[in-house]
Amino acid sequence: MKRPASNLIFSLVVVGVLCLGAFQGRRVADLRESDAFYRWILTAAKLAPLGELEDLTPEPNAPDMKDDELFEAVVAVTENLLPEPAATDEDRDGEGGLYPKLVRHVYNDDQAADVLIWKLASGDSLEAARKEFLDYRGKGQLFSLGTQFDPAAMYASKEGSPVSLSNLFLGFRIMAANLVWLKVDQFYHQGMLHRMLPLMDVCVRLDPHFVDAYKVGAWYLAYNITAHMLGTPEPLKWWDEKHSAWVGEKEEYYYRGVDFLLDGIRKNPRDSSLYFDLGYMIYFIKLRDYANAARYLGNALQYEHEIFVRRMYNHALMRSGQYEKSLAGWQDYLEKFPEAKTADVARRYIEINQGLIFERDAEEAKARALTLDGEEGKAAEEEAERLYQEATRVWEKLRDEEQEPYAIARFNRAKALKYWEQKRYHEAVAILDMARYDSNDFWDEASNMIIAIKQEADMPLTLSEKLAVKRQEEAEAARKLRQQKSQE
Amino acid sequence: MTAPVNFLSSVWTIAIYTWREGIRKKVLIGFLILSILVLFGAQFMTAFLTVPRSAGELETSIDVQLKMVKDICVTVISIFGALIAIFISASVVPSEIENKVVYTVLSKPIRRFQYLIGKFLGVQFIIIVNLALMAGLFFVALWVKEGVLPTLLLWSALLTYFEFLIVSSFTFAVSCACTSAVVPTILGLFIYITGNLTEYLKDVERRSGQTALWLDEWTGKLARWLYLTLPNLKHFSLKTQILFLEPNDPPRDVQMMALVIYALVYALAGYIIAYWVFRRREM
Repeated sequence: MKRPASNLIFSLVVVGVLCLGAFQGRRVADLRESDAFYRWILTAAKLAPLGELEDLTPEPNAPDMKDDELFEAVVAVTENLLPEPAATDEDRDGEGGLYPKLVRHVYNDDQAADVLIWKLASGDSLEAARKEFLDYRGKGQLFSLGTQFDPAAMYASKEGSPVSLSNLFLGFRIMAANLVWLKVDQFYHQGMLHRMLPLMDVCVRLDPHFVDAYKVGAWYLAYNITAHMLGTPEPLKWWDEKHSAWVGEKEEYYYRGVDFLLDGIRKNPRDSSLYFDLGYMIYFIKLRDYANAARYLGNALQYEHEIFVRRMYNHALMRSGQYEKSLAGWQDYLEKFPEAKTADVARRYIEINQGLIFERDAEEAKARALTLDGEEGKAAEEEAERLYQEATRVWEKLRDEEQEPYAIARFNRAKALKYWEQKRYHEAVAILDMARYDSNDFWDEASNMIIAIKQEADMPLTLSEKLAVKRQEEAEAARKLRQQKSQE
Repeated sequence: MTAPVNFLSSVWTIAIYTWREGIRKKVLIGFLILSILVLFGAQFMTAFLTVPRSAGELETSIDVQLKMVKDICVTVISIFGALIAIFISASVVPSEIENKVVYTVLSKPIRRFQYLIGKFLGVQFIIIVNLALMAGLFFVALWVKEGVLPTLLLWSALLTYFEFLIVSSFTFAVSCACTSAVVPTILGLFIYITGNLTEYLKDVERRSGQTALWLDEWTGKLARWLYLTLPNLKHFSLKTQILFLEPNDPPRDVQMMALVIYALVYALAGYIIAYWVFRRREM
């Protein structure tokens, strides 16, 4: 009789302890879910101002994405619970509207606010949103969801089964990603670039945190693969709805690189190097889209970054015409790194931006003078002249003291403009023709000015200039035709 | 005062004896040497990796190397650590039954309860020492590569130990019912694999009920109960996440404490089952 009784007691004790384990397991699972939700909030807050929170080109039969809807629900709750963040230049969107507090906190990389966001994400106030998040995640309805939250979801069946390829590796899928990467490296050394691409895709699917796979993959797409491709003539380019750009074969690969890096950013929203590669390597160098370059380089600065990221950001600002910001950026750089080898570069670019501001203001004053009569017109004219002189003084100083090629080019540009104004066309063209060889950065602007002067003066164009004009005309005609067709 | 001291002293003696005996096992030493060789080899495996930085220029990527070293080391520690934990937990009691040493020990004034605690603690010492050796090598490798003390690795190693604690306690329980180490070793591996696949039960539950047959529905209910009660080793994936921790990641202390308690509760369950089985044995 003794044994069955003790067996019963033991059974009850074991069941009791297992129930305790189940209870604790539920707690652990809750914490893991809150962790995933918190990470999604940070990602979504980061992507929302970049316009990357919605899938513009959904796949056929893809489920209805809920990113925007869920983020709005989260913002509605957090707007009342989060404190007012410190004001920055990046607080407003393109139309002047103030971003929600959550977005501003995340953009400022405010770590004190992160603690608060974590408390909200794991607390009662966002419980409804958290449940929705888990529901949408299971159904694959979150476009912005990085696979770092649940790698199983990526390989799941349509029903969102958690049993997946990742489980086949028993949690060692990251190791598998590394082995695939060794194969990628081998293909690279064998020059088999096209074989590398699908493997790199596999790498990032197996390990969404494999940042280097994203960076190197985008590099191959934007650089190595396109190295021997011919540029597509403007009339043959097609409109890419997703990226709002006219693209040829080369550009298509550039944008594939952009998409690959954006995927990496969605999964690693706080990795500075991904923003840098997207902003500088592709938008700045390849696409020459300086506004977007500045946008992503600005994001790269929010996190731990190399010193050159700051310099490239300032360059992108200058190229996109945001001279004041660029000037402030270089001043800040000089203040923070006065002993850096590149401190001289900063000093030079402070002057250059100052010169460009004078130039821009002079041109605005000149345009104003043309619309005004009498004293006001004369005052604007004098203002323009004074500003031109200020700009010329800057260029002269940089030319004499630093032999700065860009300053020499700008100085000559100012001279050419004067000649153009005085209708001394040949001298203007001669100066610009010489000046464009001083600085690569001035080449396109000088070439366009030369064509404009020659057209105004009815001077014969060179063969390459005729070709450039023809290409431009064809491109414009083709675009108009396509727009008409699309409207029809 | 003497009773508790005697109790603890007996337990301690058995634990130390188990530990001494365990570290002499050739298979265990083999696993350890193999793992240390792989950990050491990971440094060379990644040494020749290059990535292009600009046209025609190649540069060894420190980031990739570091990432791969971390991944390889974590995986090696998980695989070999689990093998060591399973093998040692599966063999300590059956080998003593086979050698008939257990009869000599239990003929002394030692209760089975004490004997099992001593054996269990001895097993844990062996697991901890092996894990410390592997993690120590990993620690030095990271220190050399990163130039800063990789303190997060200590937390990762701690979580790895608690994962092994669950596996070893249930393997130990199985071993108490066997006279040879073969069956508990196989079952230990099974426990480790199924522990990583517990999520599958959630899927079974979700898919059940499609045919409207009672068996189908009950299968779903059973899967739900099993999912809730069986240990889920996937929760310990935090050990890898910690190594790639970003400055703004959510606080880990809450999750780690919850996981430690989770492991201790299941280890207790494993030990109680072990004792339950062992006390029923005719010896």
